[in-house]
Amino acid sequence: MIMICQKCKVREATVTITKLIHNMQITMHLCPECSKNFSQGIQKQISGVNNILMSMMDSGTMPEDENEDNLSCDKCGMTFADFRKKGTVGCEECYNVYREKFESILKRLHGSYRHVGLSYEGIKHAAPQKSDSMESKLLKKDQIKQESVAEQIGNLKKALEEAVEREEYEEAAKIRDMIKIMEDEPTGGITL
Amino acid sequence: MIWYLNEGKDDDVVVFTMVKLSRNIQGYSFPNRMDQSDSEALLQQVKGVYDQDDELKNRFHFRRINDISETDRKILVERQLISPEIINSGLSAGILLDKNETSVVMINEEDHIRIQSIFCGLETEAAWESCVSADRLLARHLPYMYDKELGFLSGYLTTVGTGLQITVVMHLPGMVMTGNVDNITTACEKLNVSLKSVYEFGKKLPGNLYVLTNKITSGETEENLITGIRNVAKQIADQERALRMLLLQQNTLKMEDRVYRALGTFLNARIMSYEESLVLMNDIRLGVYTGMIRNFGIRTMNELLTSIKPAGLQQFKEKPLISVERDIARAEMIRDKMDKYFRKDG
Repeated sequence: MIMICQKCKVREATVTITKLIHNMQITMHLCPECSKNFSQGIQKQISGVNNILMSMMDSGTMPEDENEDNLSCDKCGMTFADFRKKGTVGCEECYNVYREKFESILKRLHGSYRHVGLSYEGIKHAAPQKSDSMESKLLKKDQIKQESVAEQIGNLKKALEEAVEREEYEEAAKIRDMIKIMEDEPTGGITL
Repeated sequence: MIWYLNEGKDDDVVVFTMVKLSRNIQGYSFPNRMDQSDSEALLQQVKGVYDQDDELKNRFHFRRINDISETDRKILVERQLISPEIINSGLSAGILLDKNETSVVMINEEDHIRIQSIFCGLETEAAWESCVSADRLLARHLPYMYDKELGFLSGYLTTVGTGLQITVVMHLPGMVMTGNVDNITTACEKLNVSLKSVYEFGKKLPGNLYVLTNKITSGETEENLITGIRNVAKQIADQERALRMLLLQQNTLKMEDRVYRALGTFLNARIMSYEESLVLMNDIRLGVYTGMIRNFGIRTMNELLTSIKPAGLQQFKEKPLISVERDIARAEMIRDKMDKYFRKDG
C-alpha cells in the first residue's frame, strides 16, 4: 500500500504533518519535497500577510482561556498571556500557579510530565567516584537493548500487517518507517 | 584536551558529542525575567561556592564574561565551549571553564546554571560523566529548583525534567549523495530524536553536517535518553559508512576526481569564503575517511573547522578584519596549517 502525496499527487507520501488548529487535528500526508515547501510556506505566511494562521496554531498548542489569562504569579508577576507570548516561564512559583496548564503542555511536549530521572537529593549525595559504575551500567543496558532489535523488528512487522488490515494507513506508514531505520540496508539512486 | 585536538569513537562520522544539563537556583526568577541586580547576586553566590570548594577550584577557572576580551569570548563560542546566548544575555554572567577545556559551567545563560561538556566523536558516556560530576560538585552547595513530580525546573518547558540535552554533530555525505537523508530524518522523529541540518545565524551551513538531539527531557531516565541517542547515532554511522563504500565502489574515478579537486583548491586558493571552505572540507573529509588522503587525519579537519571563523581569523592575523580580508586570511590560514603535511622534504 503506497500513500500518494496529497499536495502534488505524484510522489509517495512519507511525511505526516499533524497540526492542531482550534482543537481540530489536521493531518496531511506529504512527500518530503512538498512537506518542505509546506513548512516554508507557513514561515512566509507568518512573516507576511497572514498572522491569523500563527495565532490559530498557537491556540492549538496552548489552551486559551481569557479569565485565566488575567491570573498572574504573585512572585514574578508573569501572566499566562505573557507565557503564551514569550513561551518562557518566569519563576519557580509560576509552576504552582499554572501547574495544570504546564502539566498538560509538558505532557504534549515530552509524552509525560513525570520525572523519572536522577533526583536532586541523589545527585547531591552521590559519591564522586561513582562515575565508573554509571558507565558500565550504561553499557550493560545498551547490550540488552541491542540484542532485542531483531525481536522488535518482528513485533513491528506484525503490527504493520495488522494496521494495513485495519486500513490505518497513517499508523502503517509510521511503523514501516520504523522498520526501515531498524533493518534497512542503504538503498537509493546515486546522484553525484 | 579540547575536543578538536582529540580523537573519539566513530569520529569518521561523528564530529563531536555535546551534553548539557540545565539547573536553576531557588529564590531567583529565571534569567528571562531577571534584573541586573539579581543576576549579580546569583553570580556572586556561585562565585562564593567556587571560592570555598577546593574540588571546584582544582577543576575550573572562574571568569566573569565582562572580564573576557571580545575576541576571546567569540573564540570560546566558535570552539563550541560557550553559547552565544551567554554573551548577549545582558545580565551579569560568568563561566567556570574546565582546565582541560572539555566542560564549562555557564552562569546566567538561558538557565541559571548550564553545565556543558564536549568530546570529539561519539562519546555520549564520557560527556555525560563530565557533566554530572560537575553537577554533583555544584549540587552540594547550591539549592536547585526541583519538584518531586516534574523534576528540575527551567524557564523553558522544553528542558524541564532531567534538564538533559544531548547533541551529536554528524557528517553525512554518503546519506546526502545517495538521497537517504530524508528517510532517516523521518524515522528519527518517531524515535523521539531529531536530525537536522546544522544552522549558523539562521542560515543552513553547506558541508552535509547534521545535528542529532533528543526531543524530550522528561518521562525518561538520563540513561535511557543517552543510550537512545547513542544507538540511533551508531545505526546512522553504520549506514553512512556503508553508503560511502557503495559510492566509492560504483563511482571510483568520479569520487577520486571530486576529492582531489577539492584538495587542490583547498591547498592553493588565495581567497576563500566560509561557505566554500565548508564545501571543500566536506569532500576532503570523504577523502580522509576512504583512505584516498593519508597525509593528515580528521583532527586536522576538525581543528580547521573551528578556527576558520571570524574570531579565529582575527586571532590569526592579530587585528580586526572586514569580510574581504577574512576571506584572504582564511585561505592564508589554511595554507599555513596544511603546508607541513605536503612538504616534499619532510
